[in-house]
Amino acid sequence: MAAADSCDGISTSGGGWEKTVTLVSSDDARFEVREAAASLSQTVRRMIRAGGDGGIPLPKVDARTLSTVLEYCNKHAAVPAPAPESSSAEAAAVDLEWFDKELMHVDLATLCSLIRAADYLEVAGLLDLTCKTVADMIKSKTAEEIRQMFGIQNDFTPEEEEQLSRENAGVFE
Amino acid sequence: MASPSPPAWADLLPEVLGEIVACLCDADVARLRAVCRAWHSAVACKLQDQEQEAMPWIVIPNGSFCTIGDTGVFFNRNSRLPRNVTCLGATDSWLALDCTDDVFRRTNSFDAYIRDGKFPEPRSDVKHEHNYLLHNPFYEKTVSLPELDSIAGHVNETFEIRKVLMRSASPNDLVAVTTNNDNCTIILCRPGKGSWVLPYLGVFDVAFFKDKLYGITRHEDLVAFDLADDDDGSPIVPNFKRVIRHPLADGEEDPWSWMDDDYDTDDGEESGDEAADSFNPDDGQLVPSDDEDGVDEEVPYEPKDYITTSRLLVESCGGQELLMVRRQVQSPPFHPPYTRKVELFKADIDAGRWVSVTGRDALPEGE
Repeated sequence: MAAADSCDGISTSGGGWEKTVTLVSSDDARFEVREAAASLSQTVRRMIRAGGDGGIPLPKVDARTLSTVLEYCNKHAAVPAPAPESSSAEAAAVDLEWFDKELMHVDLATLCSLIRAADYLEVAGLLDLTCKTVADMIKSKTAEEIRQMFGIQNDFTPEEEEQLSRENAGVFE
Repeated sequence: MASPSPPAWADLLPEVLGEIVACLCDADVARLRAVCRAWHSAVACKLQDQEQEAMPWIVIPNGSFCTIGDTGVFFNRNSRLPRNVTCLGATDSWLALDCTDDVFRRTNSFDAYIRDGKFPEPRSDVKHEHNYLLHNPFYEKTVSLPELDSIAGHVNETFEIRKVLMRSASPNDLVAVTTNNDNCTIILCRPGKGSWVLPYLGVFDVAFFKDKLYGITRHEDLVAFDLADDDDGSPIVPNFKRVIRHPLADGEEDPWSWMDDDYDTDDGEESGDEAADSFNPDDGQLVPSDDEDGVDEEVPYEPKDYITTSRLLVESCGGQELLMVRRQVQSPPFHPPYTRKVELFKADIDAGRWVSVTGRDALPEGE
């Protein structure tokens, strides 16, 4: 897995190096991340403030998901240094949009894990991005198509279904 | 690495589903909630939250309504509603409806003019039956108001309900009604529990604010009504008090000075259920309207502009302020009337005065 080298908790290195923190996934993989990137997660930010050593445990996120979340955080917290070819802010925004689009090219199981992780870690931008992606998938589909796509069991009784179709007819005709 | 259990879409957290719902149009949301129970209830929660954020909507007297904004939709009147309903008001997502054969109340006066060649006048000697309902068109729920029926269910054509307000979005909570009848200017009722009637106290408009009901007089006095329940859950007003007194001109008498002390309604014999039982709307004279116009009978008639001032009491969107809207309408002879001025005041109850609210920054956005 893409776990970074293990290191001891919150480390501050001098000499122009950025402050980093270590995040520990549910399957014990350790990720060393710039604090600026990790702080995009409100959950992590609170834990950094609370202090502690030996890395920040994130028991609800597995390594595979966490690496994707951190990919997002690293990109979005990138220091806006004027790169040679994308000097304008506009180009940077286009680049970011393209990156987001690419990041969402994942299977549904991964997308579901990402939504959960974004919600748990409180990465607002990523939650927004993943929810929009799901919303786009749902648009203009019937309830049955949505069930098939997401592998959801229809747990309504026939009476409830009847009631639902009446409700919908009442409101949307 | 242990393989994680397959993530289940069905049990996504309601908040997350709420985020998804926020990106969808109404028709998509309707299909989304038909997917499974968990999603259905998550959507219901989200929609309720949205309504509590005071989604603006405009209700037409026959019960049709439209929502406004980017996702605005027109909803035709629900065909399962009785044909003889008139909408009296709306609170949150609830409509207050009056089912009656009193055609006067349901006919646009201009339509009547086209039909009969004259504008209709309400007749004080003709009575009609009224049935009052609360109806939520989003959830298709209807709650009857037998307590209100027993007070205002058989009244003559001049009887008017001016405002129906619910204290909360729950139909089991308190409902306040104002009428133009001075035997029952303010009616408080709780569906299935009971009612409390206040006679004419000079108050013509009311609003719920914090834990009290407030009313304004045409002089811009603000009266606070304490609210309580008896053992059966029936509403009672143990006392009321004037909390803002309008400034008096030199030599002007204060018509509401008796209200300044806590007025204990227990002393009054004609309050509460007894009053409701013996209530006869025929006895009630019409409560003077809050409209004031400048007609002076002494002066020979010449066409001139009428200026009408009306006042309205409202709770601000966030429930933080109690506001009075003062609107002046100028009616020049032979021309349509127009709004001359709208002023907004907030009640500073501790200081006992109205504070003028000016400028856009004085109110939270959206108000």
